[in-house]
Amino acid sequence: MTRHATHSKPDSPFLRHWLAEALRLRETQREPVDDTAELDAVLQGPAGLDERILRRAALLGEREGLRARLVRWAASARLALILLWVMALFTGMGTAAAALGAGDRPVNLALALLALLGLHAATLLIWLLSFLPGIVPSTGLSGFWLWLTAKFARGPDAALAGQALASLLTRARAWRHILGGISHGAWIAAFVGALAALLMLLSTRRYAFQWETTLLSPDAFVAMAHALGAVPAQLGFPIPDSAVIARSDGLHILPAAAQAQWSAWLIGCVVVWGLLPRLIAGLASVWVARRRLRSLRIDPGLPGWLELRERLMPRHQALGIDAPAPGPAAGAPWSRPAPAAFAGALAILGFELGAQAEWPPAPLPNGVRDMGLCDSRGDRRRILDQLRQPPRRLLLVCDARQTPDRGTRAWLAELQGLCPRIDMLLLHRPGREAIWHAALDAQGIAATPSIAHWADADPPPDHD
Amino acid sequence: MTEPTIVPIDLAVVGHTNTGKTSLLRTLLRDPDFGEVADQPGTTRHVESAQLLTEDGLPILILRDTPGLEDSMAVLDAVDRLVGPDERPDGPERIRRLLESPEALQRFEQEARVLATVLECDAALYVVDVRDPVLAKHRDELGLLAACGRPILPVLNFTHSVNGQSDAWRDALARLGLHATVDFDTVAPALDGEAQMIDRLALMLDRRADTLARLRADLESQRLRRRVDAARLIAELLMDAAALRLLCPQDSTDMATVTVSLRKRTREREQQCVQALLKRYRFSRATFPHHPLPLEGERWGMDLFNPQALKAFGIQVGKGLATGAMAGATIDAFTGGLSLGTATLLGAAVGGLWQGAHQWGKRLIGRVAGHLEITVDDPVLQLLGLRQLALARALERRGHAAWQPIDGGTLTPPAQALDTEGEGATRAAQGALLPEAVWPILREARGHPEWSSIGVAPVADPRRDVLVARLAALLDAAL
Repeated sequence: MTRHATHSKPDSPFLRHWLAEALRLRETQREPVDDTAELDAVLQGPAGLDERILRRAALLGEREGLRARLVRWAASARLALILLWVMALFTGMGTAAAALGAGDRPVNLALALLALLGLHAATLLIWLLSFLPGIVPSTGLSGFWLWLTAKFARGPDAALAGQALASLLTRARAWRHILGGISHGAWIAAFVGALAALLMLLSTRRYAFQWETTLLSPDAFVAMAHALGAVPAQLGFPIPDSAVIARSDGLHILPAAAQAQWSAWLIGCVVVWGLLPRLIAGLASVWVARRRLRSLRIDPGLPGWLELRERLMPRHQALGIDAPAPGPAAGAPWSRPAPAAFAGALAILGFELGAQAEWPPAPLPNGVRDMGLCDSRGDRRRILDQLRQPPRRLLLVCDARQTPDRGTRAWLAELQGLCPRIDMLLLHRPGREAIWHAALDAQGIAATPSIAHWADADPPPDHD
Repeated sequence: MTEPTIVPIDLAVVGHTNTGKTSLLRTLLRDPDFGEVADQPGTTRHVESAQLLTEDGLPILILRDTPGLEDSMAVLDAVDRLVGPDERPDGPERIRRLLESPEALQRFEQEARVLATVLECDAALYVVDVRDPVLAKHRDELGLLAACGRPILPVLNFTHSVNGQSDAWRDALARLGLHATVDFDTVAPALDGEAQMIDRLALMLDRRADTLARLRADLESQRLRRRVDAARLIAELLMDAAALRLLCPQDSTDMATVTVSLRKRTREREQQCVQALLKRYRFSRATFPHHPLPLEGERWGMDLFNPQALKAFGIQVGKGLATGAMAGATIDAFTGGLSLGTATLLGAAVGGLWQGAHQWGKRLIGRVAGHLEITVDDPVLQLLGLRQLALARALERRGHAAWQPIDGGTLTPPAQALDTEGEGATRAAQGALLPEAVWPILREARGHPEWSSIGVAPVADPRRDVLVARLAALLDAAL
């Protein structure tokens, strides 16, 4: 309960979906979580399968501590991100310092530019190419971030959190943009660091800039300086004029203003060709990712959620019973004392055998009175009439495939009140013989295997 | 609420004792846990109700499970006694008098509950066990029910049993003026059984035709959704099995170990799919406390990697390919999925030589540089797909009142019980095999071990989702 107090405001949609995805993966990879109590709470809540899946995940995530682990993982991921970006910042500073050197030698413009922008240009190109169909996005820096996060977030379900994040965001088609945003962010940090280092070093040290070549003509450098400087010039960064460029071959002494122009040109190139593309790409990635994250959806057809539909969206509801059932059906009130007097000898009666039944089922032995079939209410009245002169023994023939119901038992009890002894022959056995035997035992009636057997086993009259 | 509220249709399920009233409710509600069912008279001794809900959770149909009518003759006698010689009260009035009489609380307590329920309902479903002969007491029951003044739709249960007397029952019911009946076997209902029942009810309750039409559409959409979901589950299974790829050193004992692991993963994944299908169709193992489903492990009927199981489904396999220590697994040179055509061929060659000629296989493998990889054989994928489709079909046609466990053997298409050489191609044309179009998809999956959720390191990939959807559509069409 204390844990509830720690986050009184509702979870963001993103965290809810992440939690649901993590629980889904856990339930499909391992075994489903017991959710009996939570299910009730979910069914009380708003309808809609998506909403109920999320709500169930929220409740179970809270109970199982999964939510806390995801939040911890997110904190680790943030920490890893900060670390990554700080490392990038320092790497950028270091690269800038290395590109300028200690100031004891003139700075080679082409090599300095390559050191500052080369790797960046290559990775940016690869990133752009990854949008072509069929090419798998590369995950250099973002892969490092994930690895770093995994190092920070140890403990149970840490791998699950990352896996769930990846699978959720892949499905939302936002994963590559988020990974892109992270690596662009690292590059932005690197360029910020590099620019800071450049500004600091160029402000506090004296550098000489020059170009060197063995193969190319000086005109190539003039063209290159103009080409690279054209866009920075729009932002106010100067381009050294052609004469200055041509004289910057290290063989001529240049005025200090020319060196200042070169350093501004270099900063302009880093800003426009390094920082700016990464800023644009990073913002675009973040924009697309945010847009896609806003439309996070539950796909109820996914394994794990698919099986939940029947339970989260029940298509029927119990309404309960009208009134409790009475106590066990009492057989006692039905039995009546048998009459002492009797007339006649043996009789046989077919009970509820159906109109198509063969009657009698076997040739009757001599002296057995055939009372016919008893199906309808009219038959019953006729039988009761006939039993005013009851036989000594009455054999009831029944169909074992039928179910002896209360009506049957009531009728048997009524007959027992009129005849001193009743036996039962079951046709079409086994049928529901066991149920019949239970009913006969309760009624105190014996079963006989055949008519002949029953007729032979004629016991002496009772001595009452 | 702008949503027009529906007035749910109220149905009483009535009938003689032990004819399967509660079973009918179980099947209609798709709830194997509703009420209590036993082959005993008087199992249900109170009126227990449940309602079907629409997609939006609105009640649309109320079903009331009643105790069995057991003593209708005596009840009719009692009703006659309650009517004076000069009176001519109508049916409902007679019933009302009975309900107000003291006997309604004693001897006829159960019957009184049933009749009181029917009086309040829109219609009654009279459940008949067609294995019973038509008796006078049944006619008396129907007379009693008819006196309640509500439409009665006889539902013929157990119509699939051998010694059923459906015709005798239909004839007897017609003589009592009940010309509309519906066959609905609660153990194995027809796919459109519910729809037929609703159509018949719509004829009797024409004022409620709109609600019934909505119910019918709702049930149909539920049925289709279950199918779509089943196809999706099977598609996921096939994707996982096809993409499974285990790295393996060239040592033959290690290879056997890896193969065992491959088989174990595949078997467990199949079992998982079975459980998911059961869950989706609302069948659970808990339903059968004394009859465990024979779907676990070896009790599935036949093991997945047993060549007999392949044969039973009419799947053609090369002689050497499906036996021996490597049965069901294909050796694949470590190509990273780039040249699967040749690698698969090579694997088949190795598998073929495995039988009885280890040294040959070893020499051949020795020629292949680098590591080997082991994947699940095509025939095994075929079997996986066919078996799950057969299970889904069986579940679709199974009532929730069924007690008997599903027998692995019955899932085998009977016509394909025995396979002879060279018939595989014609089988595919007849639809007995998986549709041809699944193979390009599965072949692509073979090149992506990371797509397998039972693999070493699963990774999410949108392409996999696209292929699973396509595979599911193909399987749905085959269902």
